[in-house]
Amino acid sequence: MATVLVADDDPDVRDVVVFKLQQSGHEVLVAEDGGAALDLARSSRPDLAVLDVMMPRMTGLDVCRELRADRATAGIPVILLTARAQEGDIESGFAWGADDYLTKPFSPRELDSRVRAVLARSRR
Amino acid sequence: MPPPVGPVVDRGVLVGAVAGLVVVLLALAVALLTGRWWRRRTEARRARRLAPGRPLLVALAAGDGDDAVLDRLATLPRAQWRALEPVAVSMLGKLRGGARAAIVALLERRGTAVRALHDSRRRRPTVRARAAHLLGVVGGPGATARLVVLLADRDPDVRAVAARALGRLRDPLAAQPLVRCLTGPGRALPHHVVMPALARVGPPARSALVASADHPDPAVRARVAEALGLIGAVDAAPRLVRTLQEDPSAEVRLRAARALGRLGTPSAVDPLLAATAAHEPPALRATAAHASGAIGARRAVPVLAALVDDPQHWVAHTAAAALAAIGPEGVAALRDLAHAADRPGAAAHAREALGKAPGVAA
Amino acid sequence: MTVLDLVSVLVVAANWFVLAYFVALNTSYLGLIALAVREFRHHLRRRSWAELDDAYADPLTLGVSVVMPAYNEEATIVESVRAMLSLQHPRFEVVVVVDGSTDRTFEVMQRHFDLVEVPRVVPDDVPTRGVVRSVHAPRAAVPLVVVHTENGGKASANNVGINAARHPLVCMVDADCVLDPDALLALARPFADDPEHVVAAGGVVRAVNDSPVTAGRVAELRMPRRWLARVQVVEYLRAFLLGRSGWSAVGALVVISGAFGLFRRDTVVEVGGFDLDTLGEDAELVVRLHRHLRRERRRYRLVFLPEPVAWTEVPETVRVLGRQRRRWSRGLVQTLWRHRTMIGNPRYGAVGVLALPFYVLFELLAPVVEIGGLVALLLGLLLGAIDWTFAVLFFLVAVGYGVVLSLVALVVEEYSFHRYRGWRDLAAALGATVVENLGYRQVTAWWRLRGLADSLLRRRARWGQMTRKGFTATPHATGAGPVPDTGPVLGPTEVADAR
Repeated sequence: MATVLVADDDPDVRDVVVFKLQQSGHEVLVAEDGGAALDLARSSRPDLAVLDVMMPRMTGLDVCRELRADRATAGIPVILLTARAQEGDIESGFAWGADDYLTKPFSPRELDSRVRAVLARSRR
Repeated sequence: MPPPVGPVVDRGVLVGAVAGLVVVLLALAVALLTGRWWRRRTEARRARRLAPGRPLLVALAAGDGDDAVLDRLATLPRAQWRALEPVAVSMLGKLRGGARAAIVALLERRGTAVRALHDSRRRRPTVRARAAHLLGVVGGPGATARLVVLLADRDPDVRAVAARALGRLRDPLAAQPLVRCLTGPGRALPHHVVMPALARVGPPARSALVASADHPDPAVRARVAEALGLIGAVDAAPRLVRTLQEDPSAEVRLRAARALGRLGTPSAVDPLLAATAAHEPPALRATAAHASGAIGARRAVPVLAALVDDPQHWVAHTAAAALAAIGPEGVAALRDLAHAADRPGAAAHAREALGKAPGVAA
Repeated sequence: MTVLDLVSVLVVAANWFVLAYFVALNTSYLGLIALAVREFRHHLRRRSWAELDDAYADPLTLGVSVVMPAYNEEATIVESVRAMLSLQHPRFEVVVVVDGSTDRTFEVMQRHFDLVEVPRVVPDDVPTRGVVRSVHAPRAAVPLVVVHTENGGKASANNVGINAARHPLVCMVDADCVLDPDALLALARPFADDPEHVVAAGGVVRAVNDSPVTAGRVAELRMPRRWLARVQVVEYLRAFLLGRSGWSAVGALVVISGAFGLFRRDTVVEVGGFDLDTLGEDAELVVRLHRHLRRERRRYRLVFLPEPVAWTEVPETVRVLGRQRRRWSRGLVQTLWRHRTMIGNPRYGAVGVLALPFYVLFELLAPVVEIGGLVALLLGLLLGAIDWTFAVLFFLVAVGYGVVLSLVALVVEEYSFHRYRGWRDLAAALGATVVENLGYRQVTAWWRLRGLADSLLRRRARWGQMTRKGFTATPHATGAGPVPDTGPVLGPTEVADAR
C-alpha cells in the first residue's frame, strides 16, 4: 500500500496504469501534464512517481530534476515511462536521479512489479 | 445630366448580382450551421457509445486477460463495439505482454482480423488502407500474404501502409517482397517507408539484397547498401567494402561507408580511413570518419586526429566527434589537440568534442 | 461634351474597372480554395493512418534542429523553450539564438536551464551580422543549445541558428508560437516520404488570442474577444490556410512563414540562407529557393501542410497591426522587386507564371485599387455621375463577394479540421466575415498603401529590433553540411554528427 503519482498525457496509457496500480492496492494520484505532476508531488508527497517522459510543458525529465532539486521531494523515487527508445533519454534520466525506467509499448504487469521493487528498495 | 453609361441595364445586373450573393450567403450560413450541429451530434453519440465499453477495455488491458471482462466486451452491442474498436486498436500499439495478448484475443473474438482481410479487397482506398493498418497491428493467419499483395496496390497510400504493416509483423516471408519494392521497377514506394520495415524484418532480407548489389542503377545500389547496414547483415561487410572502394558513384560509396559504420565490422576500418583522403568528396570523407569512429578501432586514431585540422568544417567536426566515440585513446588524442596552440581550428573542434565525450571534463 | 462629362465617364469607367478587379481577385481566390479543398481531402484521408510515431522506430528519421531566435523575451522564453523541448520527435535539438537582447533573456535561461559555456565551433555556412559571443548548453543532457550573439536582426539570428544547427533539417519557429504537440513529426513527414525532392515544408499559422493555453498547448480553442483579432482569425484562415494550400497544390508555394517552416539545411546553405536586408525574409528565401532550384533544373518540391498548426497571438491594437501591415507590404515589394525577372517568366514554372503575377496583381496592387475604388465611388457621387442606389448596389456587390469568400473559408474549416467547437464561436466568426470585408479590409488597404509608398520613396526601414552593425560575413558554400548517419538516399550530400 502506497501513494503513487501517475503522470501521462495519453489517456489510454494513464487509465491502464492507474487501474493496474489501484488493483494492486495503491492509492493513485493522477496528473495530465508535467506541471500538474510537479504541483501534486509537492503538495501531497507521494511514495513514488511514475512519469511519462514526453509530456507537454514539462517533460518527465524536467519534473524528475525539479523533484531532486528540492530537499522536501528529493527522496521520492521516480520511474520513467518513455516512448523514445533513445539511450540519451535513459542516460539523462538516470543522471537526474530516476530510479528505473520502462519503454513503451509497456506491460502493465511489468510496471506493477517494478513499482513494487522500487518501493521495497526505497523503504529499506 | 444623364449618366453616360446605360443606367437601367447596369442596375439590373447589379441587383441580380446582389440577389445572387444573398442567396449564396444564406446557403453558406446554413451549411455552416448544419455542419456544426451534425458534428456535435455525432461526437456526443460516439461519446455515449464509448462510455460503457471503455472502462471494460482498460480493465482488460490492466488485468491481463480477465475472462469475465473479455466475455462482456465480446458481447457488447455492435454500435458500441464500433465506437470502441479504434480505441482497442490504438491501445494495442501502446501495450506489450499479457495486456496485448488480451486485446488481441478480444479483437479475434470480434472478428476484426477477418473483417480486415475482407476489407483489404474493397474498392475504396481509404477502406483498404485502414484494413492494411489493422492487419499489421493484429496479425493473424494470412495477414502477411495479404499485405504483400497490397504492396502492389494501385493507391500509393495503401502501398505505404502495407509496407509499414509488414515491418510491424516482422515476418521473414515479407523480406523478399520488401526488397523487391526497393530494387524492382514496380510501383514506387518511398524507400524511407520500406527501409524501416526491412530493418525490422532483419537478416532474412540479406540474400535478396545482395542479389541486387550490382544493379545498373546507382540509386538502387545506394538503397541496397543502406539496407544491408540497417538489417545488420554482418557477413555482407566484405561486399560493402568492395562497394566503398570501387563503385563509380560517390553517393553509393557514401551509403556503403555508412552501412559499414552501422555494422561495426573491424575489417572495414582501413578502407574507411582511405575514404577520408583529401581528394574524396567532403560528404564521403565526413561519413567515413563518422563510421570509423562508430566501429571504435584504435587504429583509426592517428588518421582521425590529422583530420581534425581539416579546412572543411564538417570533416573536422565529424573527425573530432569520431575520436570521442572511440574511447580513451581517442579522448587522449583530443586532449593533445585541444592544447595545440599552433592549430587553433583543430583545438576548437577538439574541445567541442571533449565537452560531449561521456565522463570527460573538458 | 463638357470637361465635367468627360470626368464623369472616366469615373464611371473607373468604377466598373474596380468592380471587375474585385470579381477577378475573389474568383482567383475561389479557385485557390477549390484546390485547397482537394489537398485537405487527401490530407484528412491520410491522417487516420499517418502513424507518425513510426518515426521513433525508423533508423533513418532525419534529425531536426529547431531554430528559435529570441530578442527581449525574458518574460516568456523559459516557457517557450520548455514547450519546444517537449515536442514529439526522436532526434531533435532546440537552438535558441539570443540576438543581443537588452533585457535579461539570456540570464533567465542561464539560471533556469543551468547553462554552461561550451566550446562549440559554429561554422559560417550562411552569412550573419551578429557576431557570436558564446555558445551555451545545459549541464544535464538536454538537447538545447543557446547561442548568444550581438544584435543583428531577425534574419541574421535565423542564420546564426542555421550555422549552429547540427541536424540535416532546420525548423524555423517564432519564440511566441504555440505548436501542436506532433508538429515536428508531421512537418518532417514529407521529407521521409519523398526524401529526394522535398526541400521545405511549411506549416499553418493561425490566431489564438484569448484561448486558454496550458502546458504549452492550446487547451481549448475559442474565438478572441476583440473584433480586431476575430477578423484576423478569419483572414488567416482564408489567406494562409486556404490560400497557401491552394498554391502548394499547383507547386507554386512562395511563402513559408518564418513562424513555422522546416527546411533542408544543405539547400538553405546552398542559396545563402536568409537575406539580411529584407523585411520579409521568410518569403524572400522561398522565392530564392525556387529560383535557384529551377535554374539548376532540379526536381524539387515545397509542400504546405494544413496541419500541424503554429498558434500565434495576433496584434490587438490598431497601432501594432498598422505597423505590421506596413512592414509586410514593404517586404512584399522588396521580394518582388528583387526577383522581378521571375515574374511572368515561364522558365520558373507555376511560380513565375501564376503565383508571382498573382502577388503583384492581387496583393501588391490591391490596396491601390481598393482605395482608388473608394475615391472613384465618392467622386462619382459628388459629380452626380452615379446615383445613390447605384453606389450602394455597387458597393454591396464588391463587399458581398468578399463575404462569400470568407464564409466559404469558414465552411471549409468546419468540414475539415473543425478546430472551433462552440456555437458562440460560430456567431463571432460569422460576424467577423462581415467586419473583415466592411471596414477592416479598407483600413488595412490604407496601411498597405502607405507601406507601398514607403518603399517607393525608399524610406529606411524601422524594424524594432534591428540596429545595423557594419559586420557582414561573406557567404561561402562548402558543399557539405552536417552529414549525420541518416539521410535521404541520393539526395544532395550531407555530413555526419557523431553524438
